[in-house]
Amino acid sequence: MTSREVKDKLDGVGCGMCLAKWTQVTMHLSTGMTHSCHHPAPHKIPLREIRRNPSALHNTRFKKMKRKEMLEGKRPDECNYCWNVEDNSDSFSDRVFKSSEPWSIDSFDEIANSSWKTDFNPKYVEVSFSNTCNFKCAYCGPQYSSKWVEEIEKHGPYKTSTNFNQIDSLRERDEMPFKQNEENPYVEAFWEWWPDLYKDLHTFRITGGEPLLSKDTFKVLEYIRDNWEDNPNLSLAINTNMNVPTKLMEKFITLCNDLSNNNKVRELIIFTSVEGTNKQAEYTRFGLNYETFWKNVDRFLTELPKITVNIMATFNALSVFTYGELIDKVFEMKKKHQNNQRYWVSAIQLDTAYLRWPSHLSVQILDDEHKQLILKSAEKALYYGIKTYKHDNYGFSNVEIQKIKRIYDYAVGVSVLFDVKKNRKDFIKFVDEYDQRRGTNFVETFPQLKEFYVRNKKG
Amino acid sequence: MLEIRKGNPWIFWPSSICDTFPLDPANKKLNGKFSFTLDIDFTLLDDTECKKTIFSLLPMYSGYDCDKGCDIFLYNDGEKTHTKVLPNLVHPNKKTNIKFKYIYNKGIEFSVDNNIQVRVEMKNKTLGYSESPHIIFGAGNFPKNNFNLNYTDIDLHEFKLTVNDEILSHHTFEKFIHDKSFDLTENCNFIHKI
Repeated sequence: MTSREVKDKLDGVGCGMCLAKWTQVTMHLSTGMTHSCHHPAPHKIPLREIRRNPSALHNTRFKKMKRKEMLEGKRPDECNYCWNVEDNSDSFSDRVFKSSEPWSIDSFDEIANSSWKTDFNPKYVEVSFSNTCNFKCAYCGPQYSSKWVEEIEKHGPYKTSTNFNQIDSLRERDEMPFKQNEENPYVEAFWEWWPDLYKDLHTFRITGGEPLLSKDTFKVLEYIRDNWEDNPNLSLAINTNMNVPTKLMEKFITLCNDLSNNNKVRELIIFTSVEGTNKQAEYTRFGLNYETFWKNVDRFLTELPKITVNIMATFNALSVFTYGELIDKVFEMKKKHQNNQRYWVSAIQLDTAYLRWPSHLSVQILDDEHKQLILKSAEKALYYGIKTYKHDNYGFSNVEIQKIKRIYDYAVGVSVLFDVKKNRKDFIKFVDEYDQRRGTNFVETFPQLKEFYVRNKKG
Repeated sequence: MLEIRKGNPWIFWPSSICDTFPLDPANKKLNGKFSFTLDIDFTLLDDTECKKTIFSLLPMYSGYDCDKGCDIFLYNDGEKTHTKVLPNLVHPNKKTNIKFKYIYNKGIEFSVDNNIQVRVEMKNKTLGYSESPHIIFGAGNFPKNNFNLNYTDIDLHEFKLTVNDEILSHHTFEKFIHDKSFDLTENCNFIHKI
């Protein structure tokens, strides 16, 4: 089914209809938060709801009210990422891409004819067991990184107009992550739900923190290793920053080898992240060793001939100068590792999304000449493009290219609600303090933004 | 130079790779609703007596073939494809220039080495319309379709597509990226391997 056909089908129910609200869930168990896709902010899972029914990790009352709006032809406010894309460009929004997934569109009739009150067992589940992480990426925060918690507890929030990453409001909102050694009722509810959930899952994905630093990740892998006959068709996906200690990486690769080579899962996909190259990538993804990253990606693709590595790139203001080089590197790996065994045909994919928050790191703060570099990156991907994927060819897909091009649309389509001046001011405050706390040097790392930095620091 | 060899034609169809990019793909200007000029420098290397297609504008067939004892210019006016039989104007191993000039609501002027060979009046008619027209070089059809292929060996030296005096695609075939010829206008209107 084409994107256009899916959009028409969704619009037949209502202009705000998106199947992801039913079929998909991301559960941040370290904070007790949940949302269906990553665009709307996660909301708190009431403990009383999971005590009655552990599936309330997904089927919260809050979410059911949003489903009601969609079924009644309304556009839920929390989904404005997609409404912006649809209203400001001719691109399809993520509600179309997400609803197009086979595990989603196949449930269309069941969902369209259901009551908003009905519990729905998700087909696609993402879970974060813990915020334990050895990185503290510039755009991340304490909810997802224990390193960020340490920094904020030591230095306090960044002194931007938004008090970036202030932890007090997390405490007030009861969103502070559980520490790894604390008892977590959400993780307990998960393990209670898991045997039932596992049997019907299409896709299960573990995110973080850094999942390889969580014992629950290995518990899941071992559970699947021992109980795979309950669901031999599972698509398993695991995130990793590709920068964990060697011993953990070895253990992980051994388990992945068992699951993949012995067909204990239908497919195994590794997700990782990077959105630039070399020092600029290391600046943004603080903790990253860029060389180790690619060494591990190369090792995965070499030792696990069936797996695909998917790079989730959060395109931000600091990505523009080296994203073209990243595209070259991804293309090189596509070429090197193409074989006829990969689950997803392609050895490696570049999945580009734009950063909305923190807004001071958004591409919308940039000067026009820098925004043009995004278009150049999209053009490069287009030249590396292929019309159809087959096991005997390689290149960038239509979707990979469109998603990069969409960053440009987003960058130049600055909304009137986006205060460029304020965000630029926050950007300068942020990088100054970042450098001071972490011993980095923004201007040395990003000489292309020196003039921008000096001008906005004065102004 | 782009070396096109029998069985491996190339295609001008930049909009086929990505739904929304390039922003304004030049192949769509060949849909019959815009005036345009195709300017192609090439050398035919094939001296066999088989029918050979230099280029074909699809899916509403227009194009140029070389056959035994004659060349054939073809154009589609939306109702059918017409043929004009010409003497052999394209000779093997000799660099040749052809120009296909289409003026909306007026007609077609077709030249070989700057000599006008065909004039077609098209009042109230246009070139056959299609959503996403494309040009195949070195074949009359896609290899997978397995008919009217007329494969040949040609070297393309230069290709230029002009619409309203603006060059929308220009190739001298010196730079290639992943089996695509780089468009010197930087509009990403590339020519690629099928």
